[in-house]
Amino acid sequence: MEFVRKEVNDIGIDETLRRVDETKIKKAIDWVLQKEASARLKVFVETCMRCGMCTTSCHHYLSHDNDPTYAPAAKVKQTIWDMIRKKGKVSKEDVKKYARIAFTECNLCRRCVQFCPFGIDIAYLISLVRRICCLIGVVPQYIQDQALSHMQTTNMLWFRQDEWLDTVLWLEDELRAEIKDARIPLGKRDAEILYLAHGLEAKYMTGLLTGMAKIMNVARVDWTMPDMDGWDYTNKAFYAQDHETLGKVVKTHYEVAFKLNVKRIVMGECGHAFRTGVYEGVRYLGWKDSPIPYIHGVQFFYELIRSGKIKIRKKIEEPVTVQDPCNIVRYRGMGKMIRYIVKATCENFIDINPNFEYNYCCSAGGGMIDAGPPWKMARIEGGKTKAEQIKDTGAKLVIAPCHTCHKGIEDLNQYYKLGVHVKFLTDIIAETMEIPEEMRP
Amino acid sequence: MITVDWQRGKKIVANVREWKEKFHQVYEPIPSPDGEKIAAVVEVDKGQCSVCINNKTWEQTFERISFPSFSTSGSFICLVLQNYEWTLAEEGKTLEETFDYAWNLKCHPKNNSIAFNIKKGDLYGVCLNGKAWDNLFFDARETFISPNGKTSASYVRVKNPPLLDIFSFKEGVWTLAVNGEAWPMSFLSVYGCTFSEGDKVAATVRLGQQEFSVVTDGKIWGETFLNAWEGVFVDDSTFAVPAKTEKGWSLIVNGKPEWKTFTQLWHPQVGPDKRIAAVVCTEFGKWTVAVNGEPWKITFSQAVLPPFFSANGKHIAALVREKDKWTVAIDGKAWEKGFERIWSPQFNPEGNHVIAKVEIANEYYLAIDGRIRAEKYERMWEPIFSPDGKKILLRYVKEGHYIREVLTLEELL
Amino acid sequence: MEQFFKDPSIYTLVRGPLVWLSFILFIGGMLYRVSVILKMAKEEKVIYPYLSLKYALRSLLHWLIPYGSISMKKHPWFTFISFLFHICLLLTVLFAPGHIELWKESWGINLWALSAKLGDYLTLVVLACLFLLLLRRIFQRDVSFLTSPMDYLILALVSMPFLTGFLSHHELLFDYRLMLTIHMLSGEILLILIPFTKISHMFLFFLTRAHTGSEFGAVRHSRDY
Ligand code: SF4
Ligand code: SF4
Repeated sequence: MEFVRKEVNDIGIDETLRRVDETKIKKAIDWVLQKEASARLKVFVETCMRCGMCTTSCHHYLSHDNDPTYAPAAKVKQTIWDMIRKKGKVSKEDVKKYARIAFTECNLCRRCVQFCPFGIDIAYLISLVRRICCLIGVVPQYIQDQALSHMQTTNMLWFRQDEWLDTVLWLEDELRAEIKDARIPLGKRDAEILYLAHGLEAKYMTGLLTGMAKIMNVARVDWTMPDMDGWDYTNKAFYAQDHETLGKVVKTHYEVAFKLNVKRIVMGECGHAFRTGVYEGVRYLGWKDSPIPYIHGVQFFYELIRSGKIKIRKKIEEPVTVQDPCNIVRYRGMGKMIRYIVKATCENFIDINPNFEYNYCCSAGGGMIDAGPPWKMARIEGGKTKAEQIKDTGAKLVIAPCHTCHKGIEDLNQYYKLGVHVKFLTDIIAETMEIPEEMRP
Repeated sequence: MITVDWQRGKKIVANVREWKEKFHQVYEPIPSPDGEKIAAVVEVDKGQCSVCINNKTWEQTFERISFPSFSTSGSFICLVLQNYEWTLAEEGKTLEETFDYAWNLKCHPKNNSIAFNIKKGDLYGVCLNGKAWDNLFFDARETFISPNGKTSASYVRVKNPPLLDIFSFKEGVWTLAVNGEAWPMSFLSVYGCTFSEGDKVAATVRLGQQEFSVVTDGKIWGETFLNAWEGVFVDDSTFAVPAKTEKGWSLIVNGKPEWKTFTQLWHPQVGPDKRIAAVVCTEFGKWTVAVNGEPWKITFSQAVLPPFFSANGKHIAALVREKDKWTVAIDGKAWEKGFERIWSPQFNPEGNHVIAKVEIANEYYLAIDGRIRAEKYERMWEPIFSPDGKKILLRYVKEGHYIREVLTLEELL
Repeated sequence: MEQFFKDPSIYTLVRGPLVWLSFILFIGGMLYRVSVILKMAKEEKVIYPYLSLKYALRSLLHWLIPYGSISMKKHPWFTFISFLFHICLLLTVLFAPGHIELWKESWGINLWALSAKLGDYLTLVVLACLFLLLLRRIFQRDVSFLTSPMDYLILALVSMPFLTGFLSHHELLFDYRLMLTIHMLSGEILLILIPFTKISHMFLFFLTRAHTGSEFGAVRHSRDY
């Protein structure tokens, strides 16, 4: 049972390793394992009984024909245990392997944690491996690029400020073709809600942002978006475990909210950003919880439909199933809300199995999709379990309220020929909601 | 500077509700600092924007208007788009020079200098008081104006490596440009640009994953830190910055840790007496204000916003959040009552009273020293103290009318 | 204890002072380990503020009840063996007739005793379970991939007192007294080693579950079982 993998080249890993020396590697390992990590690392490593109860919980293990090197505890063995055993004196080849396991074979989904008798947090241990890699500088090129962008611009795609402002003005014009005198307020002080968008919605997926703006206008929400940096809720530095950038991005989001004096922040359908906005980021900064409410799109839509601010005109008829995104379901119990919205908008809902917090990760999460083209097959292969799960439902439409799940499942669909299409809740609501007479152009 | 009428009394300035019928669409109204004017960006017709001030509308219309505000001198300023070109409009008059884009309109609260970011062709910079920088860059983000009003600064990108060339980006592509002159070195990121009274400029810079430092007037400190936030000038030759060392967060003054360490520390502010107050997290999840390194005894679990000093420097206050309500804490004591929202509280010159606009159940009130005045408003702006502290200017909308009202402090106590 | 002073021999040493010593080291070691961990957890800052008694108990309950978690239902045989093993082990350790005597002699505690026969059976069950666990370690691919020599050593360490206890009781292999000495010695060694080896999972279990249970229940609004 050896660690056998097809060779993949990623300059963020290979070229960086060529440029660093072993002292830097040792320093990074010592720093993380001795200074940054403490009780959890120690107890988790010492308590693991190597019992294998976690093995079959991981979709990577299942998708790779039960290859033991993909089992959750095995990933810890091949990384953390190895570093501890070697007292940090590891070779560049070792680091290459650690990086590959940590960035491209674990989605930090925490499903395994639910299956371990000791509740050992394997995702946490793997994130320590990523942190070590990050301090060495070994990060997949595509993730590194996004983290570098976040450092200064706060957004993930080197967007200039005028590009953001211009895009929104243009989207507002577009929206007016559908909703009379629609507005997308920018930098409006004192609004109830500060809405943040996904970086990609400002460039490649503008339809989604328009859809959200449409819903906001129809529901007559008092909202605004930032006219300054901080409009992009994504936080890809999290994938690299670049805590410094991660913290700065989350701090910026809350400070924009304080500056505009809104009551709450609402974000769209994205998992990792919610996770950083309410856990990783706020905790890094010293907040126990988010200082003002930080609401996920699912929670927001649930509110709008329950309160009757959005009414559904005509439900979707084709058979529908859902993807429970790990970061909002296993991490925040939003499974019921998702189903409430889906049932309100779709006639024919077929639940997936396993579901709710026991659902399998889409295999794109935790940065695997952000690791970019070199690692596409890693996540597609790891997603076999997900593909089969979807196929078994017989649904034609998969609703995935998370950017990562959405794209991840689209790719699985193409590769495994599932014959489904994937949508966001935003798409579904914008499509099925009632637009009051006076708002029609 | 403008002279404000501090006569006690009420003045109905305009019926803003009528504007809704008069125009195709009316955006959020903005009152002038002296309360005498109420303005709003309006759409005269579909896609034709203008500005309406006290029922008078600018003659010219534009395709778009953004960043509307009143300048320090009381003029109405905004950025306007016409025929694919952006420029500044002040009191209805536009600059001759136009730009491919213009945004981040700023007016210095003391010297009335006006600046904004510009894009010309593919290059970026700043336009200060009608004059664009000679040197432009691959990107420019934010606009800063110095206290003497003659200098502007912006974070700029000085290198343009191809997309995804992470190694070049890791060498640093950002720096600060002052009046169009970039600092000689570049960084992974640069933020917290701030000027001293004597027009020295500094910013926090990031050199590596865990290497942060400070640059003042283009010269970098010898020390680096694990992390650092925005700093502040104590005087022209003293700079204080919150930074992380192996022990925790401390306030670093001219490179040396001066405060004991905290779990978190940010937003240092310098008082008139040169005392420094900052937001600190004394223990995970517990926040307060520390003055010269000594934290208040009371802590708050949700948030503490940047502290501010009374004009005489004797008192310090901050907005704080506890149990999902905002309130004001002054010198370590919080108002008893909490509110859904509070807008920039203000000290009187002696610092013994604090007023603020507060929100309860979607209605707005004037709060003074933690008590609210019975009168409520559907819309309201921050109250303002007169320079002698005896009067308070209120600006609000009642039954569709925008009203300016001056009250005496006495009648409120 | 007194016996040892009256008649110092290996047998009385093992039966007297070493029992004391091993218990002191076991309890002391355990307290030491836990206190170090609790201190580290405090320094880590993000552990204590999120602890929730309700969800810690919910988590513990689901994992202490046989088949109380989905994971256990998915591994019916392994769960069966582990529960059987742990229950029989505890019963034997606490209530074996020989041990009851020891408790009485050392601390004057009177406990209910298993019958000799039942004690015997339980010992055999424990040994059988250990054997099955060993086979699982060797032959189940994912488990054997995780296994290091230490894990075998622990199986051996745990099986020693049971094996020797059984042998001495039936006066097999060596003379009764020698076997009993080996039995007690192996038990004492095991006891001393518990806090410093993976067997410490017997108390660390409660710590990890409290943390993970609280995070899942109180913060993430989902289940960890
Ligand atoms: S289930 Fe838990 S104890 Fe068992 S091998 Fe996996 S991580 Fe280790
Ligand atoms: S991908 Fe999920 S289940 Fe697999 S090891 Fe990582 S956190 Fe555990």
